[in-house]
Order: sequence, then structure tokens, then C-alpha cells
Amino acid sequence: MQNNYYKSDINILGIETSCDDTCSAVVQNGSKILSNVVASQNYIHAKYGGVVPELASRKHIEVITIIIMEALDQSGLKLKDISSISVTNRPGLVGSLLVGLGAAKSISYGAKIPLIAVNHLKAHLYSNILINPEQEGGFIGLIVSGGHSSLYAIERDWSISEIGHTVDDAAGEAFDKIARFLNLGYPGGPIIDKLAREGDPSMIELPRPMLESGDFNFSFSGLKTALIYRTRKNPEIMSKENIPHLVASFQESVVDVLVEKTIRACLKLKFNKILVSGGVAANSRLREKFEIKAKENKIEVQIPPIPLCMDNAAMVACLGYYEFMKGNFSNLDTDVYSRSDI
Amino acid sequence: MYILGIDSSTERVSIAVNSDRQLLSKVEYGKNQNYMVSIISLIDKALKKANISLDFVDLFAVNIGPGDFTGTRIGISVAKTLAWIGSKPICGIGSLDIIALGIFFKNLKKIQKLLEEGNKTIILPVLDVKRNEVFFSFFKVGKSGTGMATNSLKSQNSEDKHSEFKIHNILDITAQNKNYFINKVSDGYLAESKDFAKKISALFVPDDGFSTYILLGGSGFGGCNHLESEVRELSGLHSGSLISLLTSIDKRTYFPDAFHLNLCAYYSYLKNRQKGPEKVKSAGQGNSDTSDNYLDDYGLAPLYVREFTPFKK
Repeated sequence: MQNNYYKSDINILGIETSCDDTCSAVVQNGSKILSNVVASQNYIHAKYGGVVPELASRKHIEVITIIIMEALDQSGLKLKDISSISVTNRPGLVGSLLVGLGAAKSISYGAKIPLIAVNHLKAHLYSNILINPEQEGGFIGLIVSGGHSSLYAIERDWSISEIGHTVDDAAGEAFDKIARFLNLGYPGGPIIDKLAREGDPSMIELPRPMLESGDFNFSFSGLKTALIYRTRKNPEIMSKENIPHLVASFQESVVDVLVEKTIRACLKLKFNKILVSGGVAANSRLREKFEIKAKENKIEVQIPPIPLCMDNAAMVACLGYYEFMKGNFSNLDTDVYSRSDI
Repeated sequence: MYILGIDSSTERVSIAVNSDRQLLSKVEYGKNQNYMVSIISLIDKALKKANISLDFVDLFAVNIGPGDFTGTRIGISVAKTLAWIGSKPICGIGSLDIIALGIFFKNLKKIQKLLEEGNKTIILPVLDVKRNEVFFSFFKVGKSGTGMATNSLKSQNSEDKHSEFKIHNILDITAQNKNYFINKVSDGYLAESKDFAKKISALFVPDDGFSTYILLGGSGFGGCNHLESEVRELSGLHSGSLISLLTSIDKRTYFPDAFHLNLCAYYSYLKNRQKGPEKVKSAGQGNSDTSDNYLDDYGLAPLYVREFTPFKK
């Protein structure tokens, strides 16, 4: 790979190990992706129907160095061309985070490259810059994944405040749990997405939880229970021909609440732009519905391509670039945190 | 050759810098220490004390466990990344090997005497792996030139995977101008601490008239209260037979020590260099000759006492 490398270019090496994917990437000047490597662990967690933290960290420690080497290799750059290391240190699984942070600190110390420890959720909100470098602040951000379902207000100056979050399960977690309940496999999101395309979402009536709660919080645990009770009452809706209708109805309910509440937040707080990121942003029905509803309300919706919605290190490097420009560096005694405000 | 060794596998982090066999500096940090926060500054301190910079390190060594999950992972992540960016080899050594070497050096005089008298000498490091379980492995010590000693352990039954264990020479050591070997003569055993003595006595074959002398050490003698009295009874168990089993516990070897880690890495490095340029690869399980010491392997991963099997829904 040939890169035009100028001394003035800022190349950030990103490392992300907050959950079950080992990721590393090199991003130039905040938006040009030179490499973006992801080692998925889906095959390991599949038989348990969800991420097993201990197994996740066992895999991270095996592959971490190789993934970073690969990202650097694919970028065509050398370590001496890297301006800074950007690494996720919060929030996430502690046993996973410390593998990435340990590696990042060592590169920083050994190669004398400054370290920037960043927030995983904030990195998701920066992911669209990789597609549109001119992206300006002033939008509502929805981060929806297996671990998070939260709404943020991002002001023009990029100051971020959380305006809502799930009070129980994350949306992606609900997808996984329903898929596990129906023995469909793991991860649940893409499987349900595919099955639902052949189903009629109006066949089974399910609630739209917390739609009228008056705040911007979500809840998906009750929806899951509602579906399970429905199947107990009418076991025939779990028959092979009914499964697509069942999961389509479930998906429609989740998507309705996510889209509706995000749009309402956008209108109420007088923004005209929405960004959606996180693993569930890969859901085709969610993308479709956002497009329809946004058009109706004259709101612009941005959903990055799927690889950039999922956990990735390019977004971590992208955020790292902006922290670099502000001089927000981290010390080598930085710790990891399972929970953190944005 | 400068060696930087990182041992964060126990509550006591230990980092040492060696020049070949000689210790240049050692930094230790005690209980309740947050490994993640302090590890880089401890490495920096150890290097400064040794008066060398990181670029001068020729070989990185790290304790790969069994040990504290969090600490071991941080140590491995840091050590292999440092090795990678400096394009230097890395050597991962198991806790039992490190403690075995510690017991050897701390009891060298006694061992010399035992060997001269023709006794079989076994080093038995025992790790406290929590929940009243201990993890241990047998190491046979001998004078070089006397050939590879035969396996003095009998297999317990045919299903015992350890029965197929191939003896391998982990270290050839020169101490006080004499050459010794330490051979690992068993795989790692996991046992409940209350069955420890029973398990050990079952493993010895009374095959000749010589005494067997067992030198024990490791965290097992701190974490499991009754282990010591169990061991004291060991000699008694064999009193009726021709052989006598003698034991001594060395409590100075409670923790693995980064200096001994560096020595293990040094001797491993010498051995691998003799083998030629072929690199030792893969953290493959099994009883291969290279199952414990990996060089140049950025896929280095911790050793665990057992597979992790979560509850399956």
C-alpha cells in the first residue's frame, strides 16, 4: 500500500478491546482510514448465547499484539510515523480493557509516543467523521448495541451530555436473549434481522415500552418478557412458519421505540441532525425506519457503514486525533474503568 | 545480554533486570497494588536502577502463570508489546518453573550434598490456586553428564493424561562451577490440598534403595494451612518401605521472583540458540519439548490450571 506521507500528517494508532472484539486501526488526520483490523470473537461466545467476559479476555491476550502489528502493517506506516496511541480505557469489561491498555501503554513507553485514553461511547459519536470529515457538532446521538442504548445531545462545540439511557437491558442484549430463547443462534441481531424480512411485523401485537414515559429512557426487558408470555399462551406462534412473524414483531417494537424517541429528542431539543452508531445500527429495519421518519420530520439522519457502527478502532483513532489536537494526553498510570460517564 | 523480567502473577509484582546471570536491579511492589496503574513506572524504575535504557534490553521475560488472572494478563500484554516494538525475543515462563529454580538456588548447598551422597533429589513447587486447591509439578535435579534421569513417577491409571508425560530438560545450569540439570518430570497436577500428601506418595515408585529427597516451596505453604502438616506426614507414609522419603519446605520461595524468571529465560534462550535459528512457535498445549518456554512468540498467552467452562444455558 502506497501512502503519501507528509511530516505534517497526524497518524493515530487506535486500540479497542472494550468488549469481545480485538480491534486496531490507523487513521490519518482524523478521517482517512489507513487500516481497520477487527478480530471478532463471535465463534467463541456463540455457544453461550452472549459474551462471556472471562473467555473474552483470554482471547484478547492471545491476539492483541498480532492485531496491532497487522493494523500497522496494513497502514503501510512504521511505528516512527505514528503521532499518538489512542486506546479505549472506559467503559467496558475490565478484563478486556486492561489487555488493550497494557499494550497501548507499552507502545507509548517503549516507542516514546504520547498516549491518549478515550471513552468508548464518545468514540462511537465520532464515528461518522470517518465518512464525513466536515461533520459538525449539533446533533442527537443514539448509541445502540449489545452493551448500551443511550441518547446524547452533542452541541455545536462538541460538548456531550447524556439525555437518556436504557433502564435495564440494552437493545442488542434483548435481541440476543430473544434469539437464545427461540434457539436461533448468536449473535441475535443479524439473525433476527434476516428472519424478520420474511415476517409480518403486525402479526403479533407487542407493547412499545416506555414510548410515552415522558423522558428519553428506554426499557427492553419487559418487551422480552411480554414476548415470552405470548409464546406460553399460544405455543403455536413458535412454530417454524410463525417464527419470522414473531421476530419481525419483536424487532418492529424495538425499532419503533428507538426511532420514535430519538426523533422526539431531536425535535424537542431543536436539533436537525441524528447520528446512529453501535452494533444494532447495522439492523436493516432500524436504518429503513430512521430514513422514513427523518424525512417526514425534515431531519437529517447519519448512520455510518456497518463496520464503523460496530466496535472498531478507527473511531477510537478518530477521537484520538481530536484529543491530540487539543493536547489531551494521558499519563502512563492511567487505569481502566468498567463504568464511566461520557 | 540484558534481560528484563516482569512478574505480575501474584500480589507481589516483581520486575528485575539481569545481565546474563547477574542481577542488576530488582523492584518489588507489595499487596493491594493496582498493577495497571503502576507497571510502567516500575519497569522504568528497574531499568534506571540497572542504569540501562529499554533499547538495551536483549530479551524480555514474563511469568505466564498460573497466577492472578488480571496481573498475569497485564504482564504478558506489556511484555510482548515491548518485545515487539523493540524487535526482541520474548520468553514466557510458567510460575512452577520459576519457583523450582528459586528452590534450587536457595538450597544449592543441600542439593550438592544430597547428590554427592547419591540421593534422588526432587524439587516440588506447590502453588495455592485458591478454593483449597493446589497446583504442582515435579522437577528432578541432577549433575550434568549423569544422563537424563529416568522417570521416578508412576502413572496413576491409564486415563491419567499425565502418564504420557515426556520428561524434558527445562534448564542446564552452571552453579559454583558445576553443571546441573533440572528436568521437568511431570506435567502440572491439580489436587485438593487435603489430598496433596496422598497424591504425592502415590506417585513415587519404590524402585531402588536410595532415598528420595523432596524440596518443597511455593505459595501453597502460605495459602493452605494444613499443607505443611500433610507434608510432614509424608515421610511417615513411606517408613515401612525400603526407601525413605525426606522432605523440607522452603518458605523463602513463597512468591515467584523476577530474578529467577530472568535466569529461567536466560537458560532457555541459550538452549534455543543452540537448537539453531528455527523459532519456537505456538502456545500449543501438550507435552512437547517447548510447552513451557516460548521465544519470539507474540501470541504468548497465560497458562491456566484448567479450561474455563462457563455454565451452558
